Amino acid sequence: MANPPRSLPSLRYRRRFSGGGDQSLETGRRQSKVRSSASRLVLIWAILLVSTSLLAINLFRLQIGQASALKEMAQEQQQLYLRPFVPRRQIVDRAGNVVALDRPVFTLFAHPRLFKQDKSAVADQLAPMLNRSTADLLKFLNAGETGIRLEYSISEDVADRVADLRIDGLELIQHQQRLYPQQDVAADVVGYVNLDHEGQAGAELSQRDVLERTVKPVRLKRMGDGSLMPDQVPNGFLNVDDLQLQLTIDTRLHRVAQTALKQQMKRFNAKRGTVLVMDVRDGSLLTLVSEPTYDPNQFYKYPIERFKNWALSDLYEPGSTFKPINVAIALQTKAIKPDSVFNDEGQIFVGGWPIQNFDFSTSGGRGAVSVSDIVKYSSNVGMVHIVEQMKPDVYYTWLKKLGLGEKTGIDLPSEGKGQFKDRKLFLESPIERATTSFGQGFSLTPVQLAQMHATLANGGRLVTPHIVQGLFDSKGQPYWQPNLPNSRQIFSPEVSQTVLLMMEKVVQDGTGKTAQVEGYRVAGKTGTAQKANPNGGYYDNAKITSFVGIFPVDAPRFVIVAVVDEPQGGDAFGSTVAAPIVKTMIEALISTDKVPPSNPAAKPKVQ
Amino acid sequence: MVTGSKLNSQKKLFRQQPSVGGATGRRKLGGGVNGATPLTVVPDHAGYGSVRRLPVARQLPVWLKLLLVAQRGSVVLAFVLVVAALTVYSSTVYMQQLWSKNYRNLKNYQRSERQIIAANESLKNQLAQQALRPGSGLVPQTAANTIFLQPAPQRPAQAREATPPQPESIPDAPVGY
Repeated sequence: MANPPRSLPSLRYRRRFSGGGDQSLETGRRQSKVRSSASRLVLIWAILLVSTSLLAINLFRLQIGQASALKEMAQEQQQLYLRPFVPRRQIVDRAGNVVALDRPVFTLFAHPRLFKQDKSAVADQLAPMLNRSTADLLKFLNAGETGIRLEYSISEDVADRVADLRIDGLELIQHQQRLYPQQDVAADVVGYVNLDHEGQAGAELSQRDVLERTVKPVRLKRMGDGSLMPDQVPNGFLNVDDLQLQLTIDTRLHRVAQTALKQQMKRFNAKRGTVLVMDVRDGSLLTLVSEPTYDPNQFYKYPIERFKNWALSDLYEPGSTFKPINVAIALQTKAIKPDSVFNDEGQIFVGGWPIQNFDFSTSGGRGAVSVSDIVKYSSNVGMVHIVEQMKPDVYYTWLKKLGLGEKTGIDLPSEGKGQFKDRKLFLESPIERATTSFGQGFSLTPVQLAQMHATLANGGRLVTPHIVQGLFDSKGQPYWQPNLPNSRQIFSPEVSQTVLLMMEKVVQDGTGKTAQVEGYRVAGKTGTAQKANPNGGYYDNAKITSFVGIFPVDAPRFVIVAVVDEPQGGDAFGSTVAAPIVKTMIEALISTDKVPPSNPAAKPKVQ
Repeated sequence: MVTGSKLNSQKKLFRQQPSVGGATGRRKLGGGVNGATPLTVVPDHAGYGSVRRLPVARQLPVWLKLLLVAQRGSVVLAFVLVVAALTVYSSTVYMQQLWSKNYRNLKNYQRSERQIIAANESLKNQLAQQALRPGSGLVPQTAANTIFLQPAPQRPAQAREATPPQPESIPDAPVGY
């Protein structure tokens, strides 16, 4: 800027030395040119000066004047609180079928006050995506000025399409939804989560510490095009584990059990029913079905009493199904021998109360019967005589040792505690002991009955029933497995084997013939018990039928318990209502667990 | 002194050239001014006859040399550093873009995974329900329609016969004619 003015004198100097008339004209022109170029320079200088100062003022305004407001604006645009989608863990069954999984869904809110277009235009665009009529949407949009919830759970794809419309005044808020793809098949075991994503029943409730994962929202910066800047991503942001909760149940068996149970309940017009399959070796439950059940995807449509699993929350008097346990106690305490013989009068009086066999009116007394026959024909009188051989306090101690009146400790919520008389009453009253001998006068849950029968099948060990196998990663490697209490030896293997063979006779040619499966050795015991009235005494007509099966006898692996509550009709017994369900379950178990026939020579008939 | 006069003459020699340049320069400035006399260089030591010594490059002091080397080195270093800085900077920008792109991909894959699992399980449930309907043509698998294969009794381990030593293999190439 400083050079041009300094060069002016030299120009002027040269002009003085040039002479001539025509030259003076040129000189004038040159002079004006010089003047104009000088003024131009000044002008440019001024422009530059002014613009620089303007820039400086603007810089001041941006950097100091509006700095805080602009900073806020920038942060709002660039910063993003990202709550990565970390789902509640999946639940799978023992075969890896997913029974519960999480998915993100969106709630669509409309704020008509912010709309830049007509409400009807917005409704028109949204209607096909939400599968609703324009008129219906318009009614919603006219309802208020802001915060109208148009749809509660729309899928990711639909949400993307709604977002692509770029309509001002629509807001999509992400939340998680639990999906139970098998619907009601395993609802009693899996449970459900409420709208706040909290487990409310089943494994969802009892295993919530294992299933839930909390993530802190991450503060990230965003680039102009909306993509994330990774420099502030915390460690482990992407390393979400792939662990899933594996259950011991099998959905295929569940389906079979459900179908068979529904069929029998319909046929006998029963109130409810349950089917349990337990692996006797470790107490894991393969099936735990209750009917009627519910669809956890739409839990709010069902009455609340369905959410408890009555197979473990409700008590019932087991009736004859408890007889083998009593026989085992008597054998173990050496009060009787396997070949002992008792007199079955058909009807006896204990403490003034009559006790008779179920078939007393038709068959009368049986006379001398062996222990095996008492079990086979389900003789109440015979059982009273067996129990009479034991000292009352020894009998009581053994029943307590089996866990009667206690919880089994299953890893599901709301387990009921069995009811059992106190020691004093039990020792003083002979009728209490007599009714206990054939499974009345006390109550337990179907799960506990299965647990007790497992002791007969696994060589005398009391195992803890459970449904959780553990946390496994996607490659099937275990990460965590529940700590189950060690099994307790209750009966000796010889005693349990003896009782098991007695139970096999029940199925071979006793009350349990309906549970026979060609080619396989099945043990079992029927039960048809009177239902206790909560106000005292028993109902006249209401009964509860059950059947306990153990299979296969040569190498026992499964205990199957079927209980049907309040079946109607004169022919509703454990043998007619519950035993066919157990038979169906055994047939299913043969194919799912690949159980070879007990007797290879007796080839099953091809239908 | 002799060296001094020589230095003087050198100075003159050097001075002349700018004057020539100056003349030509002025001539150009003058534009069409006539009567410009051609300039000739007049040797100012006529009859000096002796050979003039060429200028000898002066030995530079060591510190200056070192400085020069340092300067050259630092220029190269600066260039390398600038290139490196630009590379690093551009790579950070590129990495961020790459990360962001891959993060988007990951999200999409996770989403597809979720959707596939959900669809697969729903399909299983649907098929199972269809199979229950009468007339579906499907029957439950039972022992009656299953083939059980008896595992063959384990064969006694056969004692391996001592095999005669293999005849030495004959190479492909003909052994002789």
